[in-house]
Amino acid sequence: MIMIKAALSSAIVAVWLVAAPTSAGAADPKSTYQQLNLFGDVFELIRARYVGEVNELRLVNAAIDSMLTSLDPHSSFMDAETYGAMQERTSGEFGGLGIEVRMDEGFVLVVRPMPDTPAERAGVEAGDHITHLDGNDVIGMALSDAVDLMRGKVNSTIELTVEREGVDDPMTITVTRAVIRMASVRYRVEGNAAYILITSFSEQTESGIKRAMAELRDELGDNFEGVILDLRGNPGGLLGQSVAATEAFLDRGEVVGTRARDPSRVQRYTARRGDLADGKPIIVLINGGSASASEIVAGALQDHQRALIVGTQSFGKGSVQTIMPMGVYGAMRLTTSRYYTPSGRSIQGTGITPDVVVEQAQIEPLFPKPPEIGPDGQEIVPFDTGPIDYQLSRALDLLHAMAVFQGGLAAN
Amino acid sequence: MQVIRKTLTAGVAALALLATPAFGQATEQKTYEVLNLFGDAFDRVRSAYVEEVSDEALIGAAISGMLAALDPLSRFYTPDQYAALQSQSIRSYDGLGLEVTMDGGVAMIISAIDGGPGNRLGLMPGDLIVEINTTPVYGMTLDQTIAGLIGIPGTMVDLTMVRPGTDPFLASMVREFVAVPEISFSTQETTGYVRIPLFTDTSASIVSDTIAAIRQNLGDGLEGIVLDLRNNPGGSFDQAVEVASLLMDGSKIVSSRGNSDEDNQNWVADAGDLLDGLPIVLLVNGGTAAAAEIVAGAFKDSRRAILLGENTFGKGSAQTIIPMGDFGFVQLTTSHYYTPDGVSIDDAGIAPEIVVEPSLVILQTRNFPRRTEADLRGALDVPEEGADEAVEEIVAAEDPGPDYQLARAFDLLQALALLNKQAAAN
Repeated sequence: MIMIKAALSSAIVAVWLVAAPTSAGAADPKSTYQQLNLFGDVFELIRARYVGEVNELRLVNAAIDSMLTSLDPHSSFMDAETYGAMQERTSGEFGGLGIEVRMDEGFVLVVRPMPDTPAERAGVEAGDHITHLDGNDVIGMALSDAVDLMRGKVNSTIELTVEREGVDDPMTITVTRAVIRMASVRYRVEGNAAYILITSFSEQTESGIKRAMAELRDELGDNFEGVILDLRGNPGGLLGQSVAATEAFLDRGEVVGTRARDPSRVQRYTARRGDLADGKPIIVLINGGSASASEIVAGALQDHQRALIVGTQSFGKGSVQTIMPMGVYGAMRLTTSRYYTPSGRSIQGTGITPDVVVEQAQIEPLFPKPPEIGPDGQEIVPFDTGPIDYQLSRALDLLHAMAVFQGGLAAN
Repeated sequence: MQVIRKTLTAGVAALALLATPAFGQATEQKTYEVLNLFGDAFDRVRSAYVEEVSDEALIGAAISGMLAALDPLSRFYTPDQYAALQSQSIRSYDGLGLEVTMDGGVAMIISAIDGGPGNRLGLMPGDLIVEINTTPVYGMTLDQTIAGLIGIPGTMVDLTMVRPGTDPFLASMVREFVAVPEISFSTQETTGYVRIPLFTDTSASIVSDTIAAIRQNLGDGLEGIVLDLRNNPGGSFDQAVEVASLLMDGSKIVSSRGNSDEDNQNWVADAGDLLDGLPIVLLVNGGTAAAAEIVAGAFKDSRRAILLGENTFGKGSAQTIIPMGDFGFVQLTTSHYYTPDGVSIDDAGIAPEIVVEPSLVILQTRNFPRRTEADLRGALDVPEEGADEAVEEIVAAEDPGPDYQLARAFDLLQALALLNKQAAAN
């Protein structure tokens, strides 16, 4: 036992020797040593005295996770299994079906198949109830378990038993799994504006914006009045992609700066290329769900007076996390820097304040038009166009006005 | 703290002597590696985190997380926290009268204390608390959960509850001062009834006085007692052992077993039984926990009482508080309690010999009109009145008493008393 105790002590000393040279100044090395010793002592105490089975790795995983989560809400530890699953998801080795699902009365309900995915090609339709996955009854399954079953190796197949409204017998649909890329960018023409919705900042964002701008400007031709960039509900994502999204609409200038704890470690990201909108007005839509990378885009375009920010106050997450692999044990997700908008603002805790505050609202006309009566004397029920996106409609009005005004300036 | 705890003072220095010599080379290597993993993580946080963090805060969080991963009652106290623990008068069931533990990340009710708001509302052992005023309990420690429940008397609290087999429901209560529940007793004809809602510092002497009072009331007519430990979440271990000792004649009560010699102990009853062997029916349910289960296990295994009711909670661990120099104290689960027959209390709980679920008894009596001479064919004439009255079928619903388990316990006691009398006659 004496020998083991000695071995443990030397482990702790070794750790401390590694730690000491990189420690940042103020901490007392003796205190660090004592603190680490305390950890080793409690660890050893648990091994010796705890009444139940002790899994040492589980103890240390819990210790690291607790240490990280005590720092802020975005730092945490991923054990080997969790980290492995994350890597698999992002490596493209993992395949899915391409359906948006939710639970409905114990079955998996297909909300909709995503365009150009295995599910759509195989004929899965919105409203289908999936009752069995490869013959396994989904009743009693958690949605996450069902989703896990639907995922698997690319090119492997899965048999879905589907009940469809209006079809008497359950159908069997075989779907071949493929890599599913969540479309980061969706776009369409709205009036004379290029409307671009960015749902999150992934590897596909930059290329998505380029494609969107090319297609929409092609479609609008000379009528192109400007861009609505919709970042509402966008929780963020990759820092590099937010920089790319910003510089797509800036000719030059700083996009964002990040600062680590060490004040000398400041990193600046600068726009290099031309503006895909050629100086036409831009409106960025934000709300309380716009966070992190979304706020970098909104903050930079606001500081450069390149875009008018419309909507409601953004979330206010101004920190950057780094994934640090820990050998075979997993990885740490650690907050390593804060970012600042070009004018030096930190948005941490405050968020981006819109230039024009527009709360989302439901609009009803005060004096509705009388119902139209058809030739048969019956009331014509208008086709339901769904709820009006009030924030977007306000943004379109503003954009149109800016374009008209800009046109007037250009004419003078 | 309503946990069974024996406070021992063992220095860390003693550890070298206590640890088992069974660790092989492989274990040692692995231990070295996982400790290095922690050191590596600690080092990276110190050097790369966006802000300067104190070593003390990091190590404190790490130790707390490590202990919390073991069980809800293993934890770390800083010297300040420990001093507060020693001086505080707050009881864990203040506010709502709920004794809780953590289970699967959420809070589980052990029992609702007699007379508290939770008890009045009908909250039951095993009910899960998933939200306190819409704040999720998931991720909270036991201390944080208890702090959330206690609050200030007079304030409202909404608990989102999950009870197996029902939809989630909201329990809205006003926090109040919950008095320490007291031992009560009554006598009826030939039997006594003693209710112990919680083991407190004075329980043994009160039980002793109570038994004396019952014996005085009923004299030689006393045939046995019903001892009610339902919804008793435990409390003082020493007092529970003492109460068991009062009613047992020199047999084993309980033993603790752990990894260290000081964790292995036995408790045996003193000679003499205040009831001189008169029958006892012990009422237990899912809210009978910890110290109360020790009494139940002792009575059951020594055949001192018949247990009636439902399976007990299954909570029987002992925590030791170990000082860590100037840094504070570790509270660690170091042993489990075992009944005299060697059954771990910290497991499936104690099963009653006679299972009786709480029930509402609905008497069904069919009252047909009585047949009389007048109904017979060819009977002599009787006056006409009432002859055409419709025959009514009456179903009488009656609640014979709010406490079915208690009624069954008294019935059982009568049966046991009869056996006793027969044995005495032979």
